[in-house]
Amino acid sequence: MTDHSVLRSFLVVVALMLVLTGCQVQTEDPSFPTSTPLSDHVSTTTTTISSSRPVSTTESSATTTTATGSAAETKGLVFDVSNKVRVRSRTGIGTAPGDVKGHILRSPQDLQEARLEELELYDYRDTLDTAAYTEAFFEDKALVLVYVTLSSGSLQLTFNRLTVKDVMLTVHYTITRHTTTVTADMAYWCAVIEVDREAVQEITSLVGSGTQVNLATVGTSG
Amino acid sequence: MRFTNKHFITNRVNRFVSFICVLSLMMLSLFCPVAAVEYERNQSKISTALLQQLSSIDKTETIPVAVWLNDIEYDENAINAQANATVDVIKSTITNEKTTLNQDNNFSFLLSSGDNPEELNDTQLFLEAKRKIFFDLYTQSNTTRVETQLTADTTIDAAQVTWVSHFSPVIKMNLTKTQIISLSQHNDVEEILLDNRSIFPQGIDDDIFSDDVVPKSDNPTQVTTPYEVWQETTNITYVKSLGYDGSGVKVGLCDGGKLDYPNLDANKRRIFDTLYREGRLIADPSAYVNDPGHAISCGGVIAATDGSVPGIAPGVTLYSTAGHNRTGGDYGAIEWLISSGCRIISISAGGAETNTYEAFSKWIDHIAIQHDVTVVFSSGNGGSIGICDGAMSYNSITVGASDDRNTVSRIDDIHAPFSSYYSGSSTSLPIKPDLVAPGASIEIPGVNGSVASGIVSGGTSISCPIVAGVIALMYEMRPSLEAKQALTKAILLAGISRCGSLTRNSVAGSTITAMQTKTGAGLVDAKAMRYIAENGRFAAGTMGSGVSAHTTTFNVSSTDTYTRVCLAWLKNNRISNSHITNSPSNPACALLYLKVQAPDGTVYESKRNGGNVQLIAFTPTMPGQYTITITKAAAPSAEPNVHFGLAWY
Repeated sequence: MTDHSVLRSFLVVVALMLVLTGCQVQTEDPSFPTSTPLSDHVSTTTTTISSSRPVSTTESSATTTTATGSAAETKGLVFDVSNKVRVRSRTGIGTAPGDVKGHILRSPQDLQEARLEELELYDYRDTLDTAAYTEAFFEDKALVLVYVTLSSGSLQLTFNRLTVKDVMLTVHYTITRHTTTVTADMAYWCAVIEVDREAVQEITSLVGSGTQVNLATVGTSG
Repeated sequence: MRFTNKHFITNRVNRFVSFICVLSLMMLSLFCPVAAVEYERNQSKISTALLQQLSSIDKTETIPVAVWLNDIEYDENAINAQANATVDVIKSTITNEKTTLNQDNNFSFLLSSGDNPEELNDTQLFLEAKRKIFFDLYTQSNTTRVETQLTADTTIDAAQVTWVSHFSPVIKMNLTKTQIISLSQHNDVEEILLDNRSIFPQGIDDDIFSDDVVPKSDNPTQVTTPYEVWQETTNITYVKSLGYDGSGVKVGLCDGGKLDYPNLDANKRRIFDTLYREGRLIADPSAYVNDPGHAISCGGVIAATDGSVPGIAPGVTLYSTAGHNRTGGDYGAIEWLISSGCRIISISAGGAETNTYEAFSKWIDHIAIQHDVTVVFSSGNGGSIGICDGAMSYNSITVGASDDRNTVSRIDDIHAPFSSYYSGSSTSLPIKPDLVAPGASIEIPGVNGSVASGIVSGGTSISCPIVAGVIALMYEMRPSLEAKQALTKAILLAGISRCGSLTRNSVAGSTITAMQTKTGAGLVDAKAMRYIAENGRFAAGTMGSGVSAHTTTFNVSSTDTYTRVCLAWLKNNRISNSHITNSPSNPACALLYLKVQAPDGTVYESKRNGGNVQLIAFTPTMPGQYTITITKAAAPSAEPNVHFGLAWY
């Protein structure tokens, strides 16, 4: 009985030592959080605008609601990047980051108005070789003119594709961030995209859909 | 008896074992919490971002980290005395020799920048000497600790050390996960951070449609606020008309690319022709040119000497650096500016709108107070998303953007919607931005081939160098202010005339500060700044442990005089004090209150329980003598001395 008491006490001490040892082991082997995996797709933002001129935020909201309620199929609108897209960027213009504005130009008159009122205004007048966009061109083609405002000139914008759903045209683009810290200059991107006239015939609204790719490590300054 | 004895002995053994058990239990209860606390402490030394990163790398992969060590122990008064003694030695040598110093007998070993002491005023001499003392202290301390402790106690090889700070207890290394864990248990280590801080260059022309990119126009259209309008709005034109141009002041520019004149585009660099020819455009030899477009814009706002319009302070010497790809990143770049003798550092970076008081902000606070440098930050272009990293620092001056709406009038100016502001819920953090400057599509200095032509730019990137340029004008007026960062901020924030929604008035009987969430103290005003600086309408000092209040008076001559009083103070941020006694992410800051009493007894107060600025603005109801009272509400016991600046307009 007495020997059992000694043994029991011994076992308790051993157990306590093991517990203490366990505590020490834990301090040397901290576990790292496994949640929050790194992902390229940090955020997706969508801004709607109207295709009818002049651009109006109020109009865009109303139009979007209608378009979203439709059960129409989403179709990709193929365009030849190397030959039919013209894009420019510059700093200094823009009001709010993420703003997307755009129009569909269906005639030389539309183009001329855009050139005078917007391309001229925002210093994009040399973006287009307007001589190529004649009446003949617009017989079976149209131009999608889109502007995107970003919060930094260090961010890279890529126009990816166009999709059509019912009366809504979506311009998909990607914003690439190389590092967490970037310059604090407002930047403005403009693209002119040639598309088949028939494909955008019914379009009444134009929507921007952006995805941000973060090439920088997560976190800032630590 | 034998049985009795055996039983007695057995009982004694049992009692002894039981005693041991109880003792063990007591030890368990005592040490397990200690072990747990120690575990927590070590874990907390590794930043959250770094922990996340570590979860995705394997054991052999290394990752760049910034290791913050315990700060060096020093006596502030002793350092100042040593610096003053150095100044005395230099000045007496110059006087006794009655000769011009040359390269062989300069005092570069006593001054951080190696400048010719004959070209420095007394304040600059003192600051240079002080920086040199700290340079030597930190260099020796950090190097020694790398050689004798960190690498000796761990498996870290000296070759893994990538950068050693000369002005703070920070070392950068490339470490494996195991090494980071091991290092976090080192007593000398305060915090280990992911080292990913460097401003990415503009690079805006590199898009995927490179085959079809239309080059930028060489003749940009003037579509927005012309240079002369926003300079009128901010009264910079007025101050420059008095002959001020920032002469004698060194301004640093930390950007995504550096202004290495010979390697700049032949057209774009023309705005710096004179600056470069006169040896006043100096590029960091360790930095890369990268894409300097953004740096040209920001540097041009401050110091353009040629082209369409001059910069705000074309008389300054402009030092240019870039953290991207540079050893030490932005830390290394900024330290180069400090060692070069810059008094003002302009950093137009954003994008990482953390809205928190993070590591880079803490480091900026440390640098600003210890090395007497005025750091000016852009707030970022994220609007309500929040303030970008670094700009939440208490001791920096954070600048947001205003929209001048293309008019000279200040009354119709508004907050630019993209301009970032602190939108968090913490009342202990400072209100940021501290003030605003034009930044919504304005014309800045530029060149179009052989023809001078302004270019349009926008964002808080432009607002930031506008304020940096105004500070350069201030330092030219009052060189002694170069050593007084709190007073610099107080003068800027008090020196603002009415500007509509960008400012607001205090209410008699209320304790709410006149600082506003989105626009801080309001729109920068060079004329009001000059009025305060030249007329000495300020006070500065240190409130030590035995001092709880400070009082001064000023006279108001007319009831239509818009009156503002600003109190700013510095956050002491020696690393060890902040980290050991407080959470690493929230070092203590002293708290001061401000009160102004009118001759008729009317009281205006600013008692914001956070940050390090109090502001009162009102239209006086009667002329006469007004009394300002500063009250010390709290100060950390480890850092009882509170350096403050007070200005009234």
